[in-house]
Amino acid sequence: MKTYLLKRLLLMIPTLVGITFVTYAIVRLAPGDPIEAMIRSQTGNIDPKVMKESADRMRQRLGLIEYHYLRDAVDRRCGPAAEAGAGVRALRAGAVAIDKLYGIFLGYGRWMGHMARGDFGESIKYRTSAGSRNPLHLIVERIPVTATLNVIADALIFLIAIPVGLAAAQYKGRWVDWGSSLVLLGLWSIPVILAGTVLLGFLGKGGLGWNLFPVAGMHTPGYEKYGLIQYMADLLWHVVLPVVCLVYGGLAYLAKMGRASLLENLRADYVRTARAKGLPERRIIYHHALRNSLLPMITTMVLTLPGLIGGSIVVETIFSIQGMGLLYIGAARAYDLSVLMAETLIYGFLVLAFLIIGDILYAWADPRIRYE
Amino acid sequence: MNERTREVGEMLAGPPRSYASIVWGQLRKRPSAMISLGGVLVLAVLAVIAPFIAGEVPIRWVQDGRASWPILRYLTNAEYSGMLALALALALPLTMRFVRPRAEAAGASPWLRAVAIHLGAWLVVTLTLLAVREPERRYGFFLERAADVESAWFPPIAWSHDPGYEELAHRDQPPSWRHPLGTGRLGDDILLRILYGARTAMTIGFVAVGIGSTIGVLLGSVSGYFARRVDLVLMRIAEIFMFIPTLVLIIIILAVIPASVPPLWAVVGVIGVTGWTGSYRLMRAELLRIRTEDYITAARALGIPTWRLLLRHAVPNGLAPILVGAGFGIAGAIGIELTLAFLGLVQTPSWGEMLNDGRQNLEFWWVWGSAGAIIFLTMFAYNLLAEAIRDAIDPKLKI
Amino acid sequence: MPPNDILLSVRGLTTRFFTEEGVSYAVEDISFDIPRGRTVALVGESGCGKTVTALSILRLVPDPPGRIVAGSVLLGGGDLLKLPEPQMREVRGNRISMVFQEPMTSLNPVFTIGDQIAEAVVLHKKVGRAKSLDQTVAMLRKVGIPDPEARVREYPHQMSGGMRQRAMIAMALVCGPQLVIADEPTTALDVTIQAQILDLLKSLQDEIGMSILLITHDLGVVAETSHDVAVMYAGRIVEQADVLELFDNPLHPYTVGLFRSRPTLDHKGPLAAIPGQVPSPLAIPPGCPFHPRCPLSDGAGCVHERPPLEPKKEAGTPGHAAACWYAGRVAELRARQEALYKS
Repeated sequence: MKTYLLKRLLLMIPTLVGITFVTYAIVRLAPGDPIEAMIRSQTGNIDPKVMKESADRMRQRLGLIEYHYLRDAVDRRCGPAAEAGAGVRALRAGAVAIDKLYGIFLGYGRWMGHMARGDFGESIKYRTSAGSRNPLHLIVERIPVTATLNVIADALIFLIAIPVGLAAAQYKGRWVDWGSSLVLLGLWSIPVILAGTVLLGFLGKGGLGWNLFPVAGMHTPGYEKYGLIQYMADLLWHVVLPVVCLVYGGLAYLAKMGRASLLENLRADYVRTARAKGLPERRIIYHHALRNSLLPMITTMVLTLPGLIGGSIVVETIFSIQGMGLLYIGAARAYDLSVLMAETLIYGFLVLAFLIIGDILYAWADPRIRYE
Repeated sequence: MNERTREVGEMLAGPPRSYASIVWGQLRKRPSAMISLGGVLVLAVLAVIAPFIAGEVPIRWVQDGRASWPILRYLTNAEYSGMLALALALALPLTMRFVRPRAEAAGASPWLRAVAIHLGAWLVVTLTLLAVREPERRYGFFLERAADVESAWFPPIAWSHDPGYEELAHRDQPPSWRHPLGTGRLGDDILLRILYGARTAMTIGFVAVGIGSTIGVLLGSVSGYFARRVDLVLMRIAEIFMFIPTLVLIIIILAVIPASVPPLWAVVGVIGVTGWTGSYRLMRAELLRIRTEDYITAARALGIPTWRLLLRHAVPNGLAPILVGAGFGIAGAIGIELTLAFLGLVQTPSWGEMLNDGRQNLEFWWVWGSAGAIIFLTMFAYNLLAEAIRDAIDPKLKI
Repeated sequence: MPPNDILLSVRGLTTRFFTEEGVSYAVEDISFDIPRGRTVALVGESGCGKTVTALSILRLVPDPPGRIVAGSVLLGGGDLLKLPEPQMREVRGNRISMVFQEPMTSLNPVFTIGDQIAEAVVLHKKVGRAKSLDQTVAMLRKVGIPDPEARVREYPHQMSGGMRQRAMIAMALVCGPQLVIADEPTTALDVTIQAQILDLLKSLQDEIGMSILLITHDLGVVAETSHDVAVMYAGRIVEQADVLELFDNPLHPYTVGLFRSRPTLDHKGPLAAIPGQVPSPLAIPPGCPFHPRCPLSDGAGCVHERPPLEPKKEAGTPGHAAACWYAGRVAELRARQEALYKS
């Protein structure tokens, strides 16, 4: 088992390298310089020389330096670009492209070097509440938020979808079955933005309907002074609408899987044997068939967690919840490279980690599987 | 002695049915599938003939004793092409019936032949149109001049696409006879926008998913068939796309696209290019399964070239699950575009944009309500259809 | 068959499947008896209805689409087909139990052998867990599984095919049933294991005295293990006799064909198959179901009238019955050493 784990962890590395490289490359290919954008957004009396120094420092760290070796070489050999012929221009364009690629590779390498030493650079756009710009701090600050949302959501999805799926299988063909299928599919077809908007608008404070729920954030201002019970209650109250948005869509998939899995098992030979032993139908379904049905769903359930983190991107935006998802989107829009890279790395790592956990859980649950 | 039993056997088996007709037969039994299919078709038709239902260009115009048909001049080549495509698609069964005798005699599929004929016809007409015709572009002020002429037949919703100063007076109106779905912030007719938004939705749905599925099928077949190193590399590439959240990937890729590309095609392209992993996995699994089958080995022993092998044998078997994925994918693509509009990243004339506009003022329920309803209904229809196809191809049902 | 002490009596059992393609006449008007302590074999090719018969006895036929439409199954004076379900459940696994063909898939892969066997004991004998495990271990030992205390904690996939089948037999016997229905118990096993399992069944029957309804397509197995045989074709019993009589003096053309198609060591030339094919249960020929393939079919009575299963005077023993209008002719052709099937 240990060797298996080690092997899986090692195999993670190429994938993580892959995804971070792709992210880095795409951002580098985008026109515009994030550093400039940041500089321009800074107001106040900052000495331009100091700004330029810090800008240069950032550039260095992020590896945003442009290389012009080949282009300059072409220029030297063939004369200035303006007077060159078409062939030379093509050559120059190629040289520029190669320069850019070279810059990307070097920049990525430099970033990797920094990261290996634990230095993730600085966020251009964000600060933690403590004032740090370190992407790791930013992420760590937000993990509990996203985690709370997603864990509650995942648990609810599990608790609702599986019984529904099982009931649909048991009463196959009857209205419980096709009714639940239709309803769940319908729920899945409601885009989160629509649901969120409607819920906010009609159930949220300041909206059109009942002022039942808060519209933003996870806590009421002044929450630091709350006692534990009040804190939990306040948190739950804030979390209701976002969790609903996360949950309603995820039910369909798991319920259908549960139904299909149970149906398949109810058709199995060992169920016929169990009946031939005179076991009551109840025990056959909930003891024999259920155990087998749940097996393939373990990996699915474990995987829904990282999926939800992706889904919570939208929910966090709608409800202004300062979580990892909001950070991710904000970083993507601002080309905040440090945060983007860190988030991609963490997120990829989480998904891979959950995959491994899923495999291990599956091996624990299914006696037929033993990893050497 | 044997005759009787053989007869009885044939009577039971019936004439051989193709895989496609079995799937179609299963689909027909499900009312949800048929309703969804109907809904999608209606939407497609409406999207194509939208100018005849809502718009500012009259269908018939009689001025100074002369009758003209302005709408015919103003329809763009793309719109004509779209109408032709729809008509041809609906006429496929007819052509199939004509082509069937000769095709079956030659051992070919009548469906493929009919499609080829229609595709050819469509291409010829479209290219001719593009080469020869330039649609009327100037704004015709028809609505303003309507009172002065002898006769003017406008589409049922006679309203301008691009509401100007006068229309502003009609803004934020709830549904009425004149504006069945009300008007928006700028005096724009909501029903008109929904109709034209259907085009965007159709384009996003079919083109984006088309791109994604094509890439996925191609890469997946290669990956599954050749396996080993090719598969190793391709699978890692697919993993990259799978591990970065789609939305983030789309956002950062959108930034790379030069501003000259119209936003609709940018969105379509990006959704397509990032959405290929689903069909890739399906195709790959299918090919990994088939490559060991005897009929593939036999075909190779006969010297059949690889590409032909893949095309004729491997791909058709894997297509059904791809179709399921495509159905879900279309709904998903519409959803992604909606999210992008919500985040303010694209400005496409779409339902998503309408929803986003409308959500600022929830009291004007007809704006976000119409957009929300049509988005939901469309996504629901595609999801139902995909689900029905998935159930229809389930091997555990009697196929 | 000597009317000893009849344990189970099947009368006029008819089971049909109502599917989209039509009605499948799986079992039509079957009657036979299972005496106490003896093995009755139900022989026939695939699709002749023998498994459905077995499932019908235990009322395990999936409904929908199947249904027992007529008949009775008499056990100890009561009709099993009329029992309310809770009482039927008491019969299953307890007074009548079943051993299935595929031991790997017929056992639940996620529970131990011990769990699955003990479950039956707890259910039917109403004892506690510890005691049920004791009985389980004892039974495992009785069926010849070595080191049963350890085996009890194993999962099905950890055992070999033969051992799994022994475990299945143990599970069927652990509550002391009066009848064990064995549906092709050895078909999925290697030939050497087959012999072991058959020996096991025989010795268990000698020791415990339960009846066995053996379902098989293999005449060799029948010869080795059974006392009485019923030959099934297209959902009907076409011939019934005790085993020696049947092998010596088959009176139904189908039975003759079956024997003829088995290769023997000194067989030369092509294998003799019965011409034609087994009819689909969705479309069973009228009259005698075998008539399309029968060399003795007269084209008239055989096509229009179904021959009843009744004792024939050409038989060597009084219980030998055949469903054929021309059983006499079959006996005659054998006496003259003429081939019934001209190949």
